[in-house]
Amino acid sequence: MNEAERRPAIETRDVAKKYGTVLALRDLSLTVERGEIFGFLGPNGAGKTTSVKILLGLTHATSGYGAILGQPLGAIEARRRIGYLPELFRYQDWLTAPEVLAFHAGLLGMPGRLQKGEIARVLEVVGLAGRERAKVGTFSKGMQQRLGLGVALIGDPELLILDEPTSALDPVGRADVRAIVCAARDRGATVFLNSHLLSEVEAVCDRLAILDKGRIVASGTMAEILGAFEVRITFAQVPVDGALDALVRYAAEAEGPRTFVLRSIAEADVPDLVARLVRCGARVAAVEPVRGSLEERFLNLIGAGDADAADR
Amino acid sequence: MPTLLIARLVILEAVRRRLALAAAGLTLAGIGLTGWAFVKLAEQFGRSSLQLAGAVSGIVILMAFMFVTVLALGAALIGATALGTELENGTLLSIIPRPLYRIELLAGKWLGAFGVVAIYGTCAIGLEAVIVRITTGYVAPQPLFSLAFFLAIVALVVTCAMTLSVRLAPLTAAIVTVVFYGAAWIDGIAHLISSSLGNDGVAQGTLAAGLLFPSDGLWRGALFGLEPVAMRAAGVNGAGSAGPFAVLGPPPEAFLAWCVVWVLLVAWAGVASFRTRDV
Repeated sequence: MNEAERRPAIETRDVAKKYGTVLALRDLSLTVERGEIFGFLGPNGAGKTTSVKILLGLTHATSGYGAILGQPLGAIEARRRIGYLPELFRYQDWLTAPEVLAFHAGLLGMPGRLQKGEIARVLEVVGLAGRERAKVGTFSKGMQQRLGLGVALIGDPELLILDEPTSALDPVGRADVRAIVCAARDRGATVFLNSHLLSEVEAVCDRLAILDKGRIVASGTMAEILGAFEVRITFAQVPVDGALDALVRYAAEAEGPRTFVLRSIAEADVPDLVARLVRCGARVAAVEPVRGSLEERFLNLIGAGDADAADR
Repeated sequence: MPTLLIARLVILEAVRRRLALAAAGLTLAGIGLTGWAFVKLAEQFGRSSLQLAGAVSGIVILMAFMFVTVLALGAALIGATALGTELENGTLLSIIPRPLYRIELLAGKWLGAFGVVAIYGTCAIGLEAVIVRITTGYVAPQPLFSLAFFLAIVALVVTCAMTLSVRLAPLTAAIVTVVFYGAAWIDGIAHLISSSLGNDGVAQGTLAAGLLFPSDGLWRGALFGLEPVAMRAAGVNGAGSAGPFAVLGPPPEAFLAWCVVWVLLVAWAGVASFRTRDV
């Protein structure tokens, strides 16, 4: 493994982008390790697509430094190993899906003898097998997005950059995309998932960053973003003293005579605690995690940003 | 090779979108009508008469003028839309991140756009020349020489339109190019008039202006190849100058060199502009 291969899939330092007087992106610094699914979240207009375009060399950064697959941003060598689905996907509507894929396979330099098999594989993966003869212009929006995903997947890229990959898909399509993204990670690829669909990111991402008004307001693993794990335990009756003793070590706070929130407990300790409570004679009615959802956390962060802006 | 893949796609698009079919149908209809007219002329004057040769040579020059205008309009539209439309509608978003340099993409688009118009132009001109030969026996003095100049005009117009389309909307780029083309032709006529009137100031000014978009000079090169030798020898109007449909000699080599430099300069401007353009 050479030096470039040891470097993260994506790294940027203080990347900024100005359109005229508008600062679309400020001091973007992020690292995406190889083999992970990285979620890039943000409200509309936060600068997500601008960031992606800078990574791919579609747009030029005003300042800052970045590397992708160990190469400077926009380097041809790196682009050979990247698959990209744009947010505003559009393909030649007068071609068939296999022809679009063959064109992109050709641009990747894939030998003609390998193209047929690869195109058939990709069409199968994205659910377009059987539609080989239809022109892209006759496809629904969802099918066109599936084709876009196929274009991104052709040649088994090391890095997949997906910009809102499920925006035109129905729930079945979204589940398919989740499976495709996880399969890509399983074969060792890195996935950079740009989305404002929080449930999608929460379901598949190993780490994520939240962008608002052109700057990162939070980044880390899902646990780091969401904060500490907490558990709410509800008893069928007021618990016995022995049970209360067991709860105290987890910084329990009473929400009512039969309901307690444990502020300091590891997820792995929950089954043992429940078993112990039952042994003490307590009748446990419900155990539920009370960690906030990504949506709550996201709204808090974005709201905080708005409040900061108002203060300034 | 990415450039050839992209060029092939431009040509394929012209076929799939039925541009080739429409152009072929219209051209065949036009050639059929002119063929019928030439047959009638031959019947009127006799196939080997000097009158027929004179009439046909004049008609061929007029048709060439009309046709080069059609080619230039087509070249402006195809040149402006080949890249510009895909820039505008986002098709290039999935192509530019592929492992290719932007100059390769631009070269592919240029080659494809030029190829579409050049293939059509060559076929149409060739077919018309054959029909004229069959119906009247007339052959222009240097048809291949003229064809080369027609193709040079196409190259010039495609280059201008494509370069403009990097920063302007495709329709704007096409219209601006057509305006340049028309202005260059008017400038050429102004130059002829001012020269024949002996107004050196205007003549020099229009000559210099003609170099800014040298399509009229190239048209006059095409004209030279179509002009009957007898007409050249006669000095056209006997005053040492020619009209818009006659020339005294081929374009000077320095002018041809300038045309090459012009195309390269404008193409370079297009590449430089595209390289720094955010997509």
